[in-house]
Amino acid sequence: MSLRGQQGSGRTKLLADTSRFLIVTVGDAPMAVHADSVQGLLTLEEVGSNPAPVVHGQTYHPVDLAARIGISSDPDGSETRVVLLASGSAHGSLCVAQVQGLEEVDRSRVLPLPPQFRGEEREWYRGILLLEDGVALILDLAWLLATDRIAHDGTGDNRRVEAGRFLGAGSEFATGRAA
Amino acid sequence: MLRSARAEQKTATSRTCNLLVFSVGGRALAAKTDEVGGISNWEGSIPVPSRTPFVTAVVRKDDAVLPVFNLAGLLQVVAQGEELLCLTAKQRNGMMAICIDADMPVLYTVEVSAIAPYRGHEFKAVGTFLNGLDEVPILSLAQLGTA
Repeated sequence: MSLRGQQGSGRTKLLADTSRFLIVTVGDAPMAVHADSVQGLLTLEEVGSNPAPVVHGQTYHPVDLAARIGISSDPDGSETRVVLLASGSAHGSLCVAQVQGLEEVDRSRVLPLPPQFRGEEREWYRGILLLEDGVALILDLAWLLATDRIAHDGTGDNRRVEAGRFLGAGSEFATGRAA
Repeated sequence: MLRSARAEQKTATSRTCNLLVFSVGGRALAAKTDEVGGISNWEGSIPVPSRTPFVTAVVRKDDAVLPVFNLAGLLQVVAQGEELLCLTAKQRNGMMAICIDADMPVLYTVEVSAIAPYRGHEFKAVGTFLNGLDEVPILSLAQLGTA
């Protein structure tokens, strides 16, 4: 095998063994969403009074995660952000109390949810992420963005949002601007 | 005869049970020592929104994550003391963490014949034993939080 080939396979392995996650806080719980699914971050000011922003013609219906998992909604604050999410053809926006940052994590640091959790929550989380300091619950996007569930989360009139920059491979997160 | 003496010794050994007595919210409880993984300082827990009764948090222990069983919540008490302790329980599905009072647990050896049936319904128990005048339930840590 050529040196080039070896380097190539090594790099492939390195990429395959790591994943990037956006770490957020919902309620008091640290949660993680796969970075590939994050389309952008908006401040409440940018979203405006209506929680279903339209970005590049795509409506991101709000996901009421707190209500679904039975925790109190976070009060709006200066660190509140709306995360725009996409998974396949499903889209949704998730209001979080805080964005802690982006973490690149080796897949060996992703643990299954312990079997003692034996309720509905097994559908909610894909596992637990071991961070340098603490852990984060990996949200299952298929569950989170399931259209039948989002429909029940409710939305009003859509507000068009002009996003400045959005997440692409290797790019940084940025906030958009309400039109 | 040596063989029978050994047999008697084995019988005598099997008639005792080693228990760890601890407290939660001032209430004395016991567990079989072979169902206890260890005692350490309680470093706080990380909330995990959940529908599993009394399992709504985890603790990080190095590169392991242990679910927390909220025994104080089950007993409707609050763990007491400034420096709370963490009891690691050998639950049948894996280790679980329990926040207990700051009072250091005590080891007891009791005769198996002194263990009476547990008549309560709060949790699954191996039985109870008398510690002075107090009847102490012996919690089944292996079955903790199981349906």
